[in-house]
Amino acid sequence: MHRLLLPLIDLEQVSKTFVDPSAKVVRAVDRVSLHVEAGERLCLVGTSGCGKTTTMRLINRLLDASEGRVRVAGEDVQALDPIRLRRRIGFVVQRGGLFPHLTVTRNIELLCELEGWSRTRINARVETLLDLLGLPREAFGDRYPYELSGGQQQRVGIARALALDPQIVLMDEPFGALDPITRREIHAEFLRLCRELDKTIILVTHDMHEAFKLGHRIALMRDGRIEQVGTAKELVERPATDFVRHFVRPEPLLAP
Amino acid sequence: MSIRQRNVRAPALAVLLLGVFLCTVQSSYAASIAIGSKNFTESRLLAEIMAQLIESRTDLEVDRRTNLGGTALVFAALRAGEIDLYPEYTGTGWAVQLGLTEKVNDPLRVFLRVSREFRVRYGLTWLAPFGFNNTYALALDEAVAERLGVSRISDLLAQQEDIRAGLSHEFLNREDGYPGLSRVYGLALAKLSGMEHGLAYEALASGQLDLIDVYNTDGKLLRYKVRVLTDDRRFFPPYDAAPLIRQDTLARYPVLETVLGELSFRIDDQTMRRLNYQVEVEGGEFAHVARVYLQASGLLDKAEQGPEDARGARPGLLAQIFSGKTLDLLFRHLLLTGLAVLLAIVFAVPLGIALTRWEFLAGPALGAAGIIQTIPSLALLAFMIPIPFLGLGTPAAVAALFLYALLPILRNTYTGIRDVDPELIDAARGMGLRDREILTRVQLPLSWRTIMAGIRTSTVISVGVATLAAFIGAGGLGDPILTGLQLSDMQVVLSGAIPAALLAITIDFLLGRIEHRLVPRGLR
Repeated sequence: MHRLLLPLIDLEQVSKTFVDPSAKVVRAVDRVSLHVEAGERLCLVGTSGCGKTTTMRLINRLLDASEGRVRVAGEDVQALDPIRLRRRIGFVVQRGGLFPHLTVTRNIELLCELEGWSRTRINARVETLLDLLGLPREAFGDRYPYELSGGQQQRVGIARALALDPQIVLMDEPFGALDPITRREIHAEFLRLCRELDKTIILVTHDMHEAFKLGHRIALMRDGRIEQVGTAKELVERPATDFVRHFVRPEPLLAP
Repeated sequence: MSIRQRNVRAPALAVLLLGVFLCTVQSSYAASIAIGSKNFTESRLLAEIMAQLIESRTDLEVDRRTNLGGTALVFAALRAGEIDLYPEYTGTGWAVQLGLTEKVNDPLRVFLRVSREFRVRYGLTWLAPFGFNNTYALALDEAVAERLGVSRISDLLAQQEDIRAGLSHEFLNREDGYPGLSRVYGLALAKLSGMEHGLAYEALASGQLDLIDVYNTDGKLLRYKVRVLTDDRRFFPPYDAAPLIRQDTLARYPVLETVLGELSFRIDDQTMRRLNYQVEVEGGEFAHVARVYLQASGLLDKAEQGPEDARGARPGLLAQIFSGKTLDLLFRHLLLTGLAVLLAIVFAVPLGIALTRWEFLAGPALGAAGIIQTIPSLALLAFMIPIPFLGLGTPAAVAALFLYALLPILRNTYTGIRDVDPELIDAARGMGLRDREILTRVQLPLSWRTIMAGIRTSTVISVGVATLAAFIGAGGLGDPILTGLQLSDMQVVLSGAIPAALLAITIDFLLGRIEHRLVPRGLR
């Protein structure tokens, strides 16, 4: 385990502008600065269209920043090959994003195969990951995604993101499509996994409750800007703006 | 892994087929002359008679390119040098190729004028005529003619509302056919339909038609109860048949003029009608009838035996379907279809993929393929003839079938890849897959079923369209269909049509199985 002195992920005055169909320039991310330490879990929270997903996509260069600088482990991402960068960063999307034509095993091992790993190494890795997520290989390895429940699909999605053992994992609304009971189970499992693996995680969600539960810190976004970054306690006790106060107000009753 | 193993077999098959293809092409470049004909009995018979005479008098090898469709097709083939000669009619040369509209009834004047114009305009020579005049005529069902008291074309005027006419497409569109006729006689038939000439007699005999266009020397006139109407205003121009030959061929083999001269003014109307009758009604083989005629008229030694002279009549339907000849035709048919579809896959799948990258090209490309698809198949085949290196036969047919096969494969590849869930593409990109890896690992496997459906459609269409390849001499199961239509012999038609239909069904079934096995279980 290597803790860095510099933040592992560092966004400095980053903006992202789009041109919408009516030729109007839209600023989806507006001068955002964000620092994430190694081993930290940061939740990006906000209503839809607030720029939280766009912000996350600037980190693995699914989008390139219009202004400002994004650094990962001290390196400017613009100087890195996007393919190499993305393979260093796990990526989990809503509903898992599993490839329906591949079995659970093939979904998980796809990246290892593209990286040219040996068969023995791949098999061992798949075994480890399936065990880690509580999906025994004998029972699940040869199933296709349509033969899995939503929760199981999402676990396979996480296993796939961890295939190359990345230090960083980006998660875009990973548990958004699950029913409340499954979601509570998978939250518990996710926290257990985090304790075992020591990953740096950025998780996008619109659910404040989920953010309070899963994140060390929370960045609350509105209209492309960050309203406040801090722990759950800080946001509740010292909200920086009315928006933050309003957004977090009902949560203390529900928070653990 | 099974997908990979199959990927190796497909190119191997392609190479094999290409080899077979090249062998067939090579054989047509031996020292020889090519004799063509139109796709009706008389034209084929005359071609066969000329061919046998040339073979017996010279050392030239004769390549028989009979059955080449209508006038436009065979004339284009002659001008392109795909064939060296074919039997043509002076009246056709006058009205169709030269587009003359004057009415001239003197056969000699027509012959001289046509001869001169063809030499100057096209570099083609008319040799001396065979001696019969196969002009157009109108034939009325004998019973109807009797009942209505019609014996001249003018008599039709009184009945033009009621008489059911079925005229061949060529006759309907030629200036010396129905358009001119209706003007000169003031005739406007109310119940008029266009139809394949080979089917007209049957339709007349079964009482579905009253009036058809016929040729004066048609053998079927001896068989059916019809009345040939007198051309009382002398509308139809003379149609003297004569060999039409390329001047460069004649310069290379001057002996041809002497040899073919032996046939000049030797075949009169009655003889030609009888020869046609022997093929169309008695079921004689072209080669056999031609040989018997040449021997009987003293042009050929009786001792000379043709290679396939044994038979005088055609065998039954089942015997025809299960004959070795059908198997050859079937193989040829498969070769044409297989080559065309393979080429279409090799071309259209990568193009379809490229179109998903360059969306702005998708509209024009799919539009172009769509336009090709709307060209009538026979016209598309005809377009291939003047193109260098295609010409007649296999290459032209494969090229035309290839063009037809493009659209379904192109469209399905394009839409198949485009319809892949964008969330999956996004997940793949976010994981760090390269564009190429996204294509091969995600997009292609997920659109495989759609692409295969396009290939299936193309193949089944090609099996059908390939029957028309016989029109440009490429063979296949269209051969018996075409011959049967000319002979009004349904058995012969079926001996080609049934295997063609079975072939289409079988191929569709087999491709369905392959598709099923190639689609991963997760998508079924």
